[in-house]
Amino acid sequence: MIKKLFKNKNLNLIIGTVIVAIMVLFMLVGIFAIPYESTDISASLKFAPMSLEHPFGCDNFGRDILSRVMEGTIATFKVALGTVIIGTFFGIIIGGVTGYFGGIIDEVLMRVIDAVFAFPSILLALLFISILGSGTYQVTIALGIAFVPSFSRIVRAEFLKAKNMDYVRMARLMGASNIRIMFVHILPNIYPVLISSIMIGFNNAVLAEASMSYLGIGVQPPEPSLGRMLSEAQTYIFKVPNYALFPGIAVILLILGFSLLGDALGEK
Amino acid sequence: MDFVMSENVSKDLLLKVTDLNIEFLDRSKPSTVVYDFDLELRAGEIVGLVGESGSGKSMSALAIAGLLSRKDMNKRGEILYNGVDMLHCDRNTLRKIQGNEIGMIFQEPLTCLNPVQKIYKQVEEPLRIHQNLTKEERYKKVLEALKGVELADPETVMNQYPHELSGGMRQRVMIATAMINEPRILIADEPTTALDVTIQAQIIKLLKKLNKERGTAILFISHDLGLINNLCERVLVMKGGYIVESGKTEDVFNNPQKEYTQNLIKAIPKINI
Amino acid sequence: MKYVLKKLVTMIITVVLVTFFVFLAFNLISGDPATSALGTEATPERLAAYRTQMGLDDPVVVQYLRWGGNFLTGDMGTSYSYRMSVSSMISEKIPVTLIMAVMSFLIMIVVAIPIGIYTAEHKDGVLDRIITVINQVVMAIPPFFSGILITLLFGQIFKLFTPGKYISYQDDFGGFLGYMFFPALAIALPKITMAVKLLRTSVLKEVKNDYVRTAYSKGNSSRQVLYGHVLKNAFLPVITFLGMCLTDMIAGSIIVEQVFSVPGLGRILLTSISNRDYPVVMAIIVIIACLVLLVNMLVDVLYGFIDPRITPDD
Repeated sequence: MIKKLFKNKNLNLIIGTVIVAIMVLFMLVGIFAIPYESTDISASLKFAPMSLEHPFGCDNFGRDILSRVMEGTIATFKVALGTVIIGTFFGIIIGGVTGYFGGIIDEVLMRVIDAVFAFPSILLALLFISILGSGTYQVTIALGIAFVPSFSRIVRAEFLKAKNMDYVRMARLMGASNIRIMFVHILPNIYPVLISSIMIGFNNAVLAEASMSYLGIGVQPPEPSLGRMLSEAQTYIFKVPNYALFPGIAVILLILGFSLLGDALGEK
Repeated sequence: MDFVMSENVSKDLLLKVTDLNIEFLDRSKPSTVVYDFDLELRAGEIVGLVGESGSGKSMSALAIAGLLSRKDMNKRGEILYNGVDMLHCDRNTLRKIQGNEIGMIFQEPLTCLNPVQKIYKQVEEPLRIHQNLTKEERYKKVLEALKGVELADPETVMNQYPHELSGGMRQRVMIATAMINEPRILIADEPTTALDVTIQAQIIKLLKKLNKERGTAILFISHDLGLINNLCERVLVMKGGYIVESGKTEDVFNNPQKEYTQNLIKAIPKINI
Repeated sequence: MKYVLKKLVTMIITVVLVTFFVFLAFNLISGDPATSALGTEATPERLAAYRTQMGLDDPVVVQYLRWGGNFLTGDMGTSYSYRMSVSSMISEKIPVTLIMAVMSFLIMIVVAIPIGIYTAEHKDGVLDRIITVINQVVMAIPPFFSGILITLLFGQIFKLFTPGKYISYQDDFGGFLGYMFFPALAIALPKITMAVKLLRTSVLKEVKNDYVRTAYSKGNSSRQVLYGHVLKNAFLPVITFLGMCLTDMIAGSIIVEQVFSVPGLGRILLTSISNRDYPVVMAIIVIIACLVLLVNMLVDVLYGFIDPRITPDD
């Protein structure tokens, strides 16, 4: 029994759930009971060491790192969530239509998708940001668009497979409309594949958001973001390692938790 | 019976399997098991092993070919070839027999061939492993082997990849590979199941020819009693891991003792090939 | 040959599509080039004259073709902020970014392939389990954070290099490579973990195939089966991934350059994005995209040579 419990897949699921739960709890505390105002500056607290009042210490402006990590995590999470929602929504529509109907729409859209897919997502996001300007919403939209091609490809492949399955033919014989077949019959059947690619997409979005704000083109200061904190902390890395450590750990846990969950859900 | 062997019998006795038992340790999964399997194979004879899927026939054949190496199972008994217990000897001893003294062909010739290797290399491989020949000698042997299995254009075939050949050609390639070192035993695990009926007949004819010309003993595994009847002198019928009946093919056919065998015979389509 | 040609044609079509798309996007956002060149106080007549002179009244396609032609001859326009030609700004930076990407690719290959094979060969062994756990964690570390950790570890503690003290490849190529090893490592780390995982999975999947049993039946040893039969098949899916890695590394260098103060393409790209210096942004994006497409095509061609099932009719 114990041996079974600790088989890789279950272990992934357990650890993944625990990590995600911790991060969710962490963010909930950040929303409802944040210890300090994350933008409060205090000269006397500059680089205050880790203490009971400031468990993660304070940064170069004397701001509480714990509160900033909390808000930064929330900001990253929001962007990642937004990205995944945009990507999933358009991905399902584009992938569904191209995969299900095929034909000329498929040809044209897939050519465009292929062309867009040629860009590494970071580059694509940067391209959109240079068009849209920097900021939280812009980054979300840019990353969302960057996420659409890969997701539509996956959805398309699944719809293509499902299209010729017996249950779809049955539905068609019974006179179900195409829209109904696509969303009521096929979509629920392909969701395990979608879930794991959504998880992967979410992780990429977290990574990309953190990278963007590290580069200074995501969340704008003084609002806290994990990437920007890391970029600021880098200057003081030797003097105040905890400044870089905690936002770094937050990013890692966020990605680790969801990737373990995605692995566990996708493996079945 | 086990220990009393007359000179006469042991001379051409190639392989003797005694009390072979195969059990899977992980019993939660559905698994094929073999109980108290006995078999004697003499030079030049063709023995059939028949049974439904899951009866343990393939498992026994794999054990005899030394291909059961999974760690999660328990193997007992003895598979004696040339004084070596193939069931318990180390891998290196076993390897000297595999592909050299005992060749094996399988059910699905496409998946059994390496998809990214040319036919020549795959047929040649047993020669490289077991014999010290020059490149030219090996080429000659491969060419002979491919001709021996009646492939129409061996020079072309050897430069092709498995996916470029038809099912029957692939199985011929498999046979050529298994026979290239002129093994004394050929184990054929459902070699015709994946093929068309006409191709099936050709392959059976080929096996018969190889058996006659080279004296290779064949252990022929099939679920098709009709084929066995066509090919084998002796037959073993397996069910649920046990050998339920064995003897000369015509005896088993004309006078089946067990109800299971009778049912199997009844199930043979009347139109025979 | 036909296959290579077909891939080449596909690539060229995609390059045209991508560059046209980029050109269009930048044409839309960059506003009126005449105004930005002559200033807002210029008279309408002068603006009109400039437009005619620069061909700005031509249809977009004609403008695109002219731009593309110029681009190919090395004329990539003039930077808004620095008033110098874009090509002279970036030509020295391209090798920096490329070398970094290639280095991290090599690091990945050298590290990931042996580990991947080892873990597959010793599945469920102690080391395999340890590596799997480490892999999972390292995979979650963003390259810029591992860059920071590498700076801390190798720069500050082991003093193997001086963080921030970039050595130009024109001054001291050896020193340059020595410095670049660390950013390359930061880029390679997450890719190594993915490659290990993929290779391990792929080998373990291949081992279940029937041809492996055939190989054993010929008298091959386990090693011979692995190296003579399984690996070549197991590498097929990995090759596509490795190609994607190389392209990701070219793009990923943008971020890591920042961590290690490497003056490559990424740096100018970022400054140019914040300065809204569109000609520079556009040139860099087009160059990187073309590099990526080139790599993709090479991977496809390579794939065709390795997997006989693909050439030449598919």
